[in-house]
Amino acid sequence: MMLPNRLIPVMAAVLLAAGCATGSQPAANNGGENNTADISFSFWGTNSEAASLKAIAAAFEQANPGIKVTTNWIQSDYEQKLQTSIAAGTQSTVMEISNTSLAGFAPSFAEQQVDPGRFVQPNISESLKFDGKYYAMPFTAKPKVMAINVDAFKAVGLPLPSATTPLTLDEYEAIAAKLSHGEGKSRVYGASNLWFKGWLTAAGGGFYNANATACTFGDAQGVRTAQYVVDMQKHRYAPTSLDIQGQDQAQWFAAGRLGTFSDFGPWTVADFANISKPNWTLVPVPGKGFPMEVGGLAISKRASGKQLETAKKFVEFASSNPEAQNQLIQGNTALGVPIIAESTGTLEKVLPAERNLAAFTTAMKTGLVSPSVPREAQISGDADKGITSYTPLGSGKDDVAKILPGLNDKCTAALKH
Amino acid sequence: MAVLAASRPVVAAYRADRPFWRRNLPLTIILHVVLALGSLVFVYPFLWMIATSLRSLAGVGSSGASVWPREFLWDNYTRAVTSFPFWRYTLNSLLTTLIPIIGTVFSCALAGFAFARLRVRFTGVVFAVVLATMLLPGQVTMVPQFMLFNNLGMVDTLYPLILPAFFGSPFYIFLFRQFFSRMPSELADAAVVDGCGWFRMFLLVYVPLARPAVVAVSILLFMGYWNNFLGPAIYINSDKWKTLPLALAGFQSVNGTDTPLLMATSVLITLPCLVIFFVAQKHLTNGITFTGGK
Amino acid sequence: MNPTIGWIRQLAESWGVPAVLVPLVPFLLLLIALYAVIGLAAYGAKRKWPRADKTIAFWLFISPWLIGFAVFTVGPMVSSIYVSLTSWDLITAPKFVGLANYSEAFQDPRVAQALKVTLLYAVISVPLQTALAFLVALLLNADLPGMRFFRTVWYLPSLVSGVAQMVLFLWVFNPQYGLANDVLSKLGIDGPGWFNDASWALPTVILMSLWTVGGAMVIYLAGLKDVPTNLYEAAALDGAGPVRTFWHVTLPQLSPIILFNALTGIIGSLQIFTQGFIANGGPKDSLLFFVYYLYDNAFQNFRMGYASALAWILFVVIVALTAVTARGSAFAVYYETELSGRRRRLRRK
Repeated sequence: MMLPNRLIPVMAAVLLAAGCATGSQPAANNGGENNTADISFSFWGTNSEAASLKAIAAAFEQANPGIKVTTNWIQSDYEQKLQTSIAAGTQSTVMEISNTSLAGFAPSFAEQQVDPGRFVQPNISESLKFDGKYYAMPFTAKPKVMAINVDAFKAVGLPLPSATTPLTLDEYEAIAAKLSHGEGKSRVYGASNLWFKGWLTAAGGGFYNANATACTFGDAQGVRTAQYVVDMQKHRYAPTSLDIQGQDQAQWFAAGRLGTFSDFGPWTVADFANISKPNWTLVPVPGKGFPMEVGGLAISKRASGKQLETAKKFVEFASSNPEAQNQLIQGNTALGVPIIAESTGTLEKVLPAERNLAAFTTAMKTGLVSPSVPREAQISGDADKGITSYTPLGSGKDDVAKILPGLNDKCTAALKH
Repeated sequence: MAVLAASRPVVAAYRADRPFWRRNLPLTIILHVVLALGSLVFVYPFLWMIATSLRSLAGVGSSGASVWPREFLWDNYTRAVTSFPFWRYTLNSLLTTLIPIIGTVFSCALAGFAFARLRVRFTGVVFAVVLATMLLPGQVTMVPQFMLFNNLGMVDTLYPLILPAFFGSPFYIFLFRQFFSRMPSELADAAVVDGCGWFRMFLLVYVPLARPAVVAVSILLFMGYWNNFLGPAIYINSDKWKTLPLALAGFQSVNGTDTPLLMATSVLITLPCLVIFFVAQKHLTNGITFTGGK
Repeated sequence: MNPTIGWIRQLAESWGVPAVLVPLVPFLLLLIALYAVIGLAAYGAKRKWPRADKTIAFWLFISPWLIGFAVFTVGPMVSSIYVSLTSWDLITAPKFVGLANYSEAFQDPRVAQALKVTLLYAVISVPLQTALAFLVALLLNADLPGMRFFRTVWYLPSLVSGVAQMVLFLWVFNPQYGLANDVLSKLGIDGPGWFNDASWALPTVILMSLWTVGGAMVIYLAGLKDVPTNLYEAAALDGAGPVRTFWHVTLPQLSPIILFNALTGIIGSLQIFTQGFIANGGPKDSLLFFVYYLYDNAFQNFRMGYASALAWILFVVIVALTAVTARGSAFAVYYETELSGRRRRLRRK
């Protein structure tokens, strides 16, 4: 050992560090190389949503004895975690993906064969296309409907809205005005907190344009819609986001503080199921309705061999087999609406007919889907931050006509990046 | 002025035959009032957190600043423990707290001893480097460390949170070094005379005497590691490896806006730190004195 | 994953190592190999220089730290310089872009905002926290009954830290239902939006940081107890009143601790992350702390190169601030002989 002893440890360590640092290529594949047919399945969601997905996985295991589906419930920052896991090569074989995020992840997914005629509406499968090809299999749709407080309508002598024809936005504003009364912390609002993105679509516009090349939330139509929401809040027909911070709107509805509740998704059924007083029912969302999210199941591009076969069987099972589709409804809550004709009735039966859960099926049949853009979470997240910071749509005070166009242009620029 | 007068107990003891508070009763009362008011301000949000955790959703909106819960929904705590894999997360938190404590104490005691007692040509220089490292923000190495662990295949495991602890941490090396250098050098001389190797001397002589420092450091480390958030936020993707702070941060995407449940979960997460503090209170002040050991 | 590592892992899996421990195997093997080399070197050195056992022991004792330093600090720093010169999204291969990331950072208004937020926070909250902690320590050092109770109560809040603290204070400062505005409304004041108001968000975070002075307070308490009593006796003999004793005895004796706390406070406050993350950057980016912006770019937008450039900018800022503080301290800090050997500066009269 001729080298001075103190140099050796340092050298070795530096070599090690250098070796690890320069070995920083993208993750080498390690998925699907073994002979096992077991698969892993990632998804996001609240407690009740996770329950549905775990039930679907369990149903598949039952129908295919000997095959194991390992579920991986990613509770927050789903898209970021997905990307990190893809980079590390640790992504699951099957991954839940929303139609709005598909564009950013399609390069990492395997192409799939989807039969559009199988589902209740062509938009459903269409929404999971990227570049003309299908990259995920739809398994649920999440349309929105509106709950109305029947007793409140009767108390002010208003006719109940139609169960099948949506109101116009102006009609809705008038109704909200009539239903609102009271002061301060006990004020009753005619409308619930208005979700800007949803109302954009209801008014006939959208967050992005049809071919996802530009943002449109700040164009003339978008500004008009924003003004609509701001005015509703100004007249206190609808609570602001600050008013409901830390509060549960379902609980407000039950306490009679909301005349209508417009962001009602399949998962909201559980919150409302126990409400018997006030009497309530479901009607369509005014205008063209809120955008309908489509849940899809994507298969990792790196899956191969037996795992790939199992994955294909699994997504097929989840999307077209009534056994799986019925599992979307767990007790009185649902992850989404079943998308095959045989199972749509399952959701409708959860509550008595006067609650009109059939409104979900109607909404699904006519629902519009948003186009998908890459890096959706970042782009819409940044735009949302601007909207909520600067305008009364969030906690700001600036005029929407001045702020939204600027944010819109930034958003479009980010899309083109 | 009153503050300064009160804070010289030594002089008071030296100068007077009666304790301070008897000599100057009005001052004592004023000080006590100030302290009590201050304590109220400090402890109030804490009590309020506990009160909120015991209320119902409806009660939360209407209770305002009151610290008395009025309703006692202990069920919120049962729900907090059952609404997500609480025990799994607790296990993960314990793993990423207790094991790193062992690693840090071990490696920092070794290094601290070396800097204190093994004075050779390069000791001063290397120690200066250690201190300089203390000034380094962890975030400069955040991205490349992620790449390093990615290459080692350790992303989405607990290892990136555990392994670095076994390689020393400048602040605690500094503490141990201070502690060991205050020990009388006769210990070393005696051991050398007895023909002890350095490591055996370290193990058999210095380590047993270092107990106060080890305890104090462990307590500080526990607080730090238990509440560590940035590390898990970067490395942990899947549910089974989540730690408690990470779960708390993701609470609303799992449970919606359920404020009492959120507060109950926060209380549960803070509980271990509280317990440890109460149990080990005096060790804390004993161990981190700067002029030290007996 | 590095292909060699992947190969070792497959080997481990085929040996039947439980899945949880598989990632550890390559790392342990590397470590064992490294220590084998070190052991051989130590043995060889001992054979050649038999009286250098103290030196050998020194290097062996600090070997864990040294390895960590090379692998987790120096190595990553070097590689971070390289990454900052590329554009990389983790999935596709890195693309060399030269200094483009740095020039983008200098023009990015959000970088300026992040620096502003972080520096404001550091410069305001650290002195406030130091002063408060010191004041409280002075108060609690008094020899009055019940002090132990008060000390516990004032230390308690610092145990609620990180995510739990932020979650609690988001609720405390909720404009409609929170504690703060409720108390204010009882006093007839219309409370501000706190975390929701862009001009109030940062002051709220600073206020929140004052709540946890308990940690620093404990260190000051320990330091106060350490002031040698003979100094107090001498001062009393010289007829010094409480103010002069404080200024000429207590404060100088405590000045190294104050400096230490101030330095670690500054470094810590420049790295604050959790508050920014939970508040999602705050309204109008008012809580866009630098490290949070770094994290956002690296792990949410997946711009590794840009994030690395930002990290180096942060490093330069921290070094600069530390140097300024340390230089400034030379005029105010009194060192005991023991602590710093030849670096002894007396206080200017």
